[in-house]
Formats: sequence, structure tokens, C-alpha cells
Amino acid sequence: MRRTKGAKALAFAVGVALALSACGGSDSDSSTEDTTSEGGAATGETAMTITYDIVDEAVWEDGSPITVADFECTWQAALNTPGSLGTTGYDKISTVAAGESDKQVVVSFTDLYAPYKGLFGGLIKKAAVADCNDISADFQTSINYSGTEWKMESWSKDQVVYVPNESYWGPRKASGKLVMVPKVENGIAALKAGEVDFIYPQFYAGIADELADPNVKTVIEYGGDFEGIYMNQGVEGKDANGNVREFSDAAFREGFYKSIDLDALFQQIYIPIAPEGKLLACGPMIPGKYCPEGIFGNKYSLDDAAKALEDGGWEKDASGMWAKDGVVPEVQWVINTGNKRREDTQAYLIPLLKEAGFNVVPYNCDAACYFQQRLPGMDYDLAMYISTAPPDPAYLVPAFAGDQVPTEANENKGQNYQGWVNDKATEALKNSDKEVDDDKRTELIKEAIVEMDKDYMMIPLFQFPKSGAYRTDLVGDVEGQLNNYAAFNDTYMWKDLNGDGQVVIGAEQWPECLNPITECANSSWYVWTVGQVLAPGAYRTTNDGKYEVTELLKSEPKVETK
Amino acid sequence: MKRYVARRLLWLIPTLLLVTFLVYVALRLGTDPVESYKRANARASKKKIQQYIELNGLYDGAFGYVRGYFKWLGGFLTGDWAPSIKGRTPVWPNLKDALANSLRLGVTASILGIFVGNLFGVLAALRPGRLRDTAVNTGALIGLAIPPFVSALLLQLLFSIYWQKWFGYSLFPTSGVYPPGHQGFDLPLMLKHMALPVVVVAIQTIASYSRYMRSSLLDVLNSDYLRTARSKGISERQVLLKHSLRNALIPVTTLIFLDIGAIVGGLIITEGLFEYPGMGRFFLVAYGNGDFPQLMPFMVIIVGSVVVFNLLADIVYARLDPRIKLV
Amino acid sequence: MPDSTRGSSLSKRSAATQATTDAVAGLTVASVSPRRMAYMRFRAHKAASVSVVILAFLVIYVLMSPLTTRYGVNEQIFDISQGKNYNLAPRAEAWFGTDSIGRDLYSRIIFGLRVSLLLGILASAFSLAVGVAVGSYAGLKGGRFDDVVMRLTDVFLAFPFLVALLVIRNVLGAVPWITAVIGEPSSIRFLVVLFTIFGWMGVARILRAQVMALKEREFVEAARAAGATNWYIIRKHLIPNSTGPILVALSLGVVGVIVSEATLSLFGYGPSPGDGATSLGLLVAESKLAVRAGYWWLALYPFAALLLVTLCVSFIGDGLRDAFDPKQSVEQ
Repeated sequence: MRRTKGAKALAFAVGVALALSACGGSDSDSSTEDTTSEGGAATGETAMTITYDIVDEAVWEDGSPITVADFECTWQAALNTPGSLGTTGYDKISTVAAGESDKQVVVSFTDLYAPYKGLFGGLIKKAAVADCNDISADFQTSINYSGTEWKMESWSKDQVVYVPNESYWGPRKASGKLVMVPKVENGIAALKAGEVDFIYPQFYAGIADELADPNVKTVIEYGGDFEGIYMNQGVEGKDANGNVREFSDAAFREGFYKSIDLDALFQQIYIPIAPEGKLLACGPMIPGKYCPEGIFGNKYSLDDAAKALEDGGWEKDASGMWAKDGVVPEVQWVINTGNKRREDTQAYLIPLLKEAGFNVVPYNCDAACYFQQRLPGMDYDLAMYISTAPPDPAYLVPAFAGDQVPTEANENKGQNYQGWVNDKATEALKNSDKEVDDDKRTELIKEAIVEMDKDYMMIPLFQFPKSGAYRTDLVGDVEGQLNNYAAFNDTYMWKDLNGDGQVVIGAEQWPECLNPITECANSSWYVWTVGQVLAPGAYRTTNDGKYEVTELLKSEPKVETK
Repeated sequence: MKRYVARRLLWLIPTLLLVTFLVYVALRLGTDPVESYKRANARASKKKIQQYIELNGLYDGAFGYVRGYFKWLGGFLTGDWAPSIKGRTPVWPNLKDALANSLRLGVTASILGIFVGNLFGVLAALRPGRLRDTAVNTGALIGLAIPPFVSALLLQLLFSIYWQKWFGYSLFPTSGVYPPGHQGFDLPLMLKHMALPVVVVAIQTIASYSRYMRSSLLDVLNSDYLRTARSKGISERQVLLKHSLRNALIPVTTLIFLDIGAIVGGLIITEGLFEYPGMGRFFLVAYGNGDFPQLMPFMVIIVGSVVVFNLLADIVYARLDPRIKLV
Repeated sequence: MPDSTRGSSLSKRSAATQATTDAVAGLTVASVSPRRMAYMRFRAHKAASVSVVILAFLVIYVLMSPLTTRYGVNEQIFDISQGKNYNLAPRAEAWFGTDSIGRDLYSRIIFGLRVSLLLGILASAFSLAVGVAVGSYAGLKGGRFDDVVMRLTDVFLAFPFLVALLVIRNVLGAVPWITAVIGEPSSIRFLVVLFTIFGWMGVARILRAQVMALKEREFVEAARAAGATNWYIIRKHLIPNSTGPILVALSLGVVGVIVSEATLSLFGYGPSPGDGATSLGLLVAESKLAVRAGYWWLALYPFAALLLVTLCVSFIGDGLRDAFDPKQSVEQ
């Protein structure tokens, strides 16, 4: 299955690391009997304030003005709603108050918070919910407010229909109808049959051939999804039964890494998907400003591998396998069954690894078991999966900081499922969350990633293309935002060429429910089909991976640190 | 006869209870509802998890299972169903829609199978060994051997994609219940969207009914009492109409009832391939999430219909077949 | 659709009647055993006879691997460094073309057939063992045991197959000591057990029907009068006289297992051995993507193999039914 659990709702995107769950932070259920939650606003000295100036014309779909009350409601909902996805960041806010008028919002933080541009990305209309502190029961069948150019006419499991929002005040003029339907299996067939105008499929081997059609144009960009093989170092080097995890041994990791010809692997597995692709060499990051030079990549050399292993106390036993103290470790490699690309990788690599002296065995199980038991339970030695990198690198912190390995200390809620502990990197990552200066922050992130390379923490493989495929005879002008982390958010510009009054998008996944704060919003497709279409926000991402201020605000928000 | 029916009816309730209890145990063991809830709601507090356990009666231990089952049963019968673990959406509206969609497909395909299949079967049995018979038999075997997803793909390719290339419009759509953007009820459009999935399922039903009727009718046509009737000089026509068909229909009738009982939930592949939002998709999503509040009503509805239709099949069979000695 | 056996009746003619009829018809054969009659009726069923030959050839060919295969099951026809090796159309080096990582499809189909046939035969054999025992006992004993068994199998058999399969799969996979014994859900061993759990019930019903028809016969009454226990009667008399239905059940079981395995693989719940090993079901399921991309060989050959096996087995099943139950016979 080429399904990925994508990023957290962009609307409240603070940072997401892995394909499973979003940033940590316990549920702030404000009942006092619950000892696990922090509950409520942050308390303490104000370390930082941000001032947002809302434009005077900004109104909701019914004409009521967008004010500080809506910002406050958004904050409370994200922080206090049980099961909320996005408490991180919001739990550092002490107050959201009006400034000179209720069109000026002053947000006070008790701690420096660098990824602030991800906050307030999708506002919740206060008048649309009964209680801002718990909106988990709202929006069961429809989201009836809007602060953007589109307004939701209806939503069901089979389609969502948007019509232009008459009250919208900004420059993005929508016309006609925007319809999205789930096309989990049949996206390309539906496109070729003319039932949908546009699809946004995830790439797999052979898709280029499948899309080949005179009326279909495919635009390929490279996006935030990337795949890698991760090594599990265990909790303090051990697994749940107290046995030593072989990958906690640095020499073993290095020898393993250097025993794989990554270029050949790339040619065999990934070139069929994207003929123009390149081996990813940025660690758990995509190429761009946060990617250090000269790290990872193909380091294939059996001699170097042998040297590293022998220096580390390993030696080849009689059958040619690497052993320490006479013991040849069994490396358990887990993937989800039914994922052809990963199964092929296993089938290709395992014999080669055996030749190189590593006893790798497959330890596969189905998707639910893989993503919900094996990975968070750290029940594996090697794992292969896709992660999504949002524009802000804050996702690295909960995934790779040393204190985020799930242990008693963090009530097993940490998300460092590799068990990688590197003090230098941990410090750099923690500081990066507080470093407001962009250049300095970039340096800190790069520093952490360089440590990952030194430690041979993972094997980065491939940055997935993002592709939009559309019918040139049915819709036009769609190519503007296809590389955007937020994807095709310029639908107002698309032209309906066949005169049926609507633009139809086929969605590869469909959210199971509509609530913008809780679990159903924890997927990219929720964001693309609902979240970003309706909710106004402070910042929007651009096609080249940056943040820009939206039409909601008069100017760049003012950040003051104390 | 009446006593037989009464006895069977009496056993209906205990059977239902027993089987649904087994289903309850299987689901609780197999899907681990509490773990699934925690995964679906990764940031749920302990209090919320406890609430979920209380609401669904997920007590531990053997006695806890029994207690939990009866608590669930109470809620089920009074219409007070626990909501889904994702987003707390109520279960019944989605289940109702899924049921309606699946029944639409399944019943149509079954009706086609019953009429067309039985007709083919009769035609084949009347001329055994001839071309007609071989054609029907082989055709049915091939129809049963083709996996549904192969026929689905081929039909989609032919009628949607290539038709559009050749003729500029697609004769039948690839997926969905209605075209995108459509709202409200529209019979012609609905039929158009049903066409391909129904054909895929009908291939199987027609094949299986034709084989069944052929076998059953051949059985009857060669039986001793017909020989007697023929030797007595009754015309072939009378033989056929009065005796054979009626008797041949008996086992086929029971098959019909059994099939209807199994239709619901039996179309997973076809529904998936044609993006038809029926019971199949409902089950796969609920199963993938380990969504206990959704899975239990689903399974119980299926189990219920299976048990009830089995009962009907037995009663009808007993009614029709004079040879059955009822205990 | 459930291949129910309701309504299939069995020959009530005894051997003596048969011999008399034949004598009247002018045959000079003094006495012909029912077995021989069955064999001759089977031979007369042309499609079945041809199918036996084809199937036998196929099985021998498959069992003779690696002699009959050109490459290993996980072996690439050439290394990627020498050029594109994946998704190649049929050619001299790879008669059926190559798959997504350059392995020879022809060899993989043979290995896959071997696995699937093994899986099918094992699962069928186990189903048979359990089903024959339970079914014949229920048929012979009757009474409460029979009632309960029939009720339960009735319900279970009428269940939508995939739903029941997935639920049982989960239950088995969730209990730790079970997976320790029979293997992880992604292993072939697990599938054998899973399909056995499903298979025995159909067999049991067939046997029960057969036994209930046979138990009024003289030889059973005689055995009872001599004091034989139920199991003795089952072993010595009932099972040997049920070879027809048993063989039919066995053959259908093999095919059913292969198709079910393909269905599971479609959803990602099939076997995933991880070391490149494959089964016919996996190959068929993987072909779904291939067809859409235009790699027709990846779909055509596995599907043709599946169809060949299915048709052959179905015809053989037909022939067997005709052989042991002349009322079904095509020729009069």
C-alpha cells in the first residue's frame, strides 16, 4: 500500500516527524484529577510576544469580522480539546489578548519559540463552536464557516463541494464550483476517462507509463516526502527483553552502512519510479537550506566496512558472517506487507547483505501492525518508511532529541523511535526550538544533522516526487503550486475548460471525519481537501518551501523578545 | 411442519446470541479495542481512555467478556450505539448508507443470476452432452475461475477508458455512486454507475446458478420416478413442467436464500475496485483502524442476516421437498 | 458463492442391480466393480481426462524445478549495473519477461506454483482429515452432536468469506502462543492453518450428507449387528465408499485456497516472506498494478497459470462427480 500517514494538519502545523503521530505533548484535559495533563495556559514570565494586525476588511462568511476572539478560540481549542493534535507551541502561550483594538492580537509566550510561523495557520471561528475549550464534538457533518475564497456547500464520505464565498475580502477570486471526490483505487483510470480533472498521486514504479496519454499532462516536482531505512538502537542499547540491540554498536552501524551500494540500490528501486531522481543525502531532511553538504550518500566500500567493524571488535566467523564474541546477530528488518517497493527492496538487498556478512531476516507485518505496534514499540532492528518534512524543521526535535526516546521519564510518549542519543545533537536541537534568528537556527539544525551522519544513524534513500496530473482538455492553469508542502492551494486560479461549471479533483485518501483539531485532521489529504481550503491563517507556505504572510494580516507580525 | 418451524424459531434466539457472542470474543481478542483506541487518539488522556472502556464495556477476564457482551447487547438493541473511535462519528448513518449501497449491487446481481443463470442451467440440462450444455458448463467454469478484480479491470479499461478514446465519451464510469458534483437522487445516473460493478458480480452469480440448476435438473430428469412417469406415457412437456422443474427448484431455492444472506459484506473486492461505498469499504476501514464500535454492529448485522436467511432456507426447503422427513 | 452440496443425491443402485442392467444390455463382462465403472465413466468425460493429463504434466514440471526453471526465484537476469533489467517485455533471456526488479517471471511462476500447490494440498489435506472425521461422525451418530455441528457450520459457511477470513486471521495473530506455533501472519505456515480452519467445514458437510445416505445400507446394519463401533464403521465402510465426494472436495479445496490467497494478497494481508519467495496468488495480486501501467506480461502469464490450474481441477471435479454419480452423467 502506498499510503502514508502524512503531516499534521497544516492549519496547526508545528512540526511532524514520523509517519505516525504528531508532536508530543500530553492532552490538556483540564480536569484536576488527571495527573498526566498539563492543562491550560502556560504560566510564567513573558519571554516573547508576537503582534498580529488583522486587516479591517477581514470577515467571516456571514460578514462578521475576524477578530482577536477567533485567535483566542483557536489557541484554546488546540490546547485544551481532548485528543487535540496540536498542543506543541500553543502550550507556551500564556495569553492571547487584544492590542489597540480587537483587530490587533498580542500573543504572549513564556518561552522563546522559534517555529511560531506554524501557529495560527488555520483559524477557528469562535461563533461556530459552543465551547472553545473542547471542540471535539463539533463539525460532525460540515464546516459551516469560512474566511477564504471558498465556502463548503456539503461534505460526505463521497464528495465535498465548495462554492465561492461571497463575503471574502481578499484578492483570490473563486468562481464556479470546486468538487473533490475520493479516488483511492481508480485515480488514474478516472482521470483518463475524464471523470476527474486533476489528481495528485503518490509515485510508484510504472506510474509514468500508466499516466501516458495524449490528454494528460504530468508535472513532477520534488516535495517533502522522503524514504529511508532507520536503525533501531534500542532503549539504552537494549530491547524490551533486555537483549542488546546490535545497532547500538557504532562500529556495526558504520560497517553496515558501508556494505551497501546505495547507488545500485537507487538504480534498481527508485529510478523506475522517478527517472530523474537522485539519492537523498540529507539525513531525515530534504534538499534545501537545512541540508548540510557532504554527508550521507553512497559510501560503499567493503574494505572500509571491514576496517570499521574490525576496529570495533567484530570479526568474520567461519561462515563469513560478522560476529562479536562468536555471536552473529540476527537483524530483523520490518516493512508493511503489500508495499511492493519495500518488498522489492528487501528481496534485492537481503541476499547482498548476506554476502557482505550480515544475517538480515524479514520481520514483516501488515500496515496497522507496522505503524501502530512495531515502530512505536521499537520492536525492530531495521525499518523502512516514508516521512514528511514540513517547511519548518521543528519536526526534528521530537523525533531525534535524546530525551525523546520513549521511556518512563516521558511516560513512553516520546517519539524518538530509533533510540538515537547524541548529546551534541540533542543540545543543538533543543536550542533550535528557541532560536528566533533564522540564520543561527539554520546552523543549529545543520549541526544536528551532521551528528546524524557521523553516527550513521540512518540510511536516507529517496525524496519522493510530488506530481500533479491533469487533463489538458478539461482544466487549465493548475501548475502554480504543485511543489507546495500545502499542495494545490491556488484552486481559485484554475480554469474550467470543458464548461461543466466545476473543477473536479480526485483525492487519493479521504479523511474519515471533519474535525480540524483531532485525529482525523492528522493527514495531508485532510489538509488539502478541507483544512487549507476554508480556514484563514497568519502564514501560508509558498511553492519554494517558505512561509509568507497572508492577506489576513496588514504586515509581517512583530516579534519582540525580552 | 408447524412443529418443525416452531422448533427452528425457538432455536433462533439462542443461536443468534451464541454466534454474536463468539463474534464479540473474536473481535475483542483480535482487534484489541483499547490499543486501537489509543493509537487512533494518540493524545488521549487516561480519563478519556477509561471513558471509552466504560462506554464499550471492555472489561477484562472471562466474566468480564460476558458482562461486556450483555452491556453491548443492551446498547445495541436500544439503539444507543457507541461512536467510532475516530472523530466520534455516529456509526449508524454510515452503516445505513453502506448497507443500502451494497444491497443495491448485491440484490441486482443476485436477481440477474437467478433469472439468467437458472435459464442457462435449464437450457443446458435439457440437451445434455450437446453444444449448448458444453458451452454453458465451460462458460460457467471460466466465469467462476476469473478473479473479480481481473474482470473489473478489463471492463473498466474497455468501457471507460478505451471507449472514451474511440468515441469521445465513456460509456460507463469507472467508479462512484454518482458523478462528481452531483447531489440528490437520480435513477438513470445511478444505474449507469451501477452497471460495471453489477456485471462483475453477475458473472459470478450467473455462473454459479447455471451450474447449480443444471446439476439439479439433470439429477431430477434422470431419476427413477420420472422414468416411471415417462413409461406411463405422460408427455415430455408435462414431465418437464409439472415434475422436473418444481423439484429441481427446491435445492436452488435454498441456495437463493443462502446467497442473499451472504451478499452483504461479500462484495469487498468489487466495491473497492469501483469505489462503491458499501459494506466492503466500511469493513476494510473499520478493520484497518481496529474500530470496535463500528465492527461489532457490522458483524452482528451480517451474522444476523446469515442466521435468519439460513433459517428461511431450511424452512422453505422443508416445505417444498416432500421427501424430507421432519423430526 | 457457496458451493453447497444440498441436493446432490447419490446413486442408490447397488452393485447387483448394476450388473443385472449390464447383462441385460448385452455386456459379456461377468461382474464389474463400482470402482471400475466409475473409472470408465470418468474416462468418458473428455474434458476431465484431458485435464488430468495436463495437470499431471504441470505438477511434474513444477516439482522438477530447479531443473525446469532458468533462474532462481529471487535471481535477477542481470545486474542493474548492466542496464535496465526491470519490467522488460518477453524476450530470449526471459521468456515471460521480467518483473519490477528484474527477476525472470517464467521461473517465478514455476516456483510460485510450487508454493501455491503445496499450500493448497496441505490445507486441503488437513481440512480433509478434520472434516472427514467430524462429518462422518456427525452423519452416523446424528442427534444433538449432529445438530450443533450443522448449525455452526451452516452459519460459518454462509459468512462473507473475506470478512470471516480477516477476523479469524486477527484472532490467530493476536494470541502469542498460537503465532509461536504456527508462525507469523505473513508466513506460509500461518496460511495453511487459516485455510484449514475454513476448509474443514465444507468437507464435513459433504461427508455428513454422504454418510447419512449410506448409513441405511445393509453393510452398515450388518456391521452394527456384529457389534462394530462407530469409528470402525467409519473407517472400514463409510470412508472407502465416499471416495468420490472426498476427491471432489480435495480438488476444489486446492483451487479455493489459491484464489483465497490471491484475494488476501490484494489487500496486503497475504504472505510476505521477504526473501523474494513468491506464490501464484502473490503474482496474480501484483499484476493489478502492472496491467494499468501496460506491463501486460506480468498479468497475462500468472493469470493464465491460475486459469489453467483452476479449469483443469474444475473439470476433474466434474468428471469425478459424473464418475461416482451416474445421474449427473452427460451421456445417457
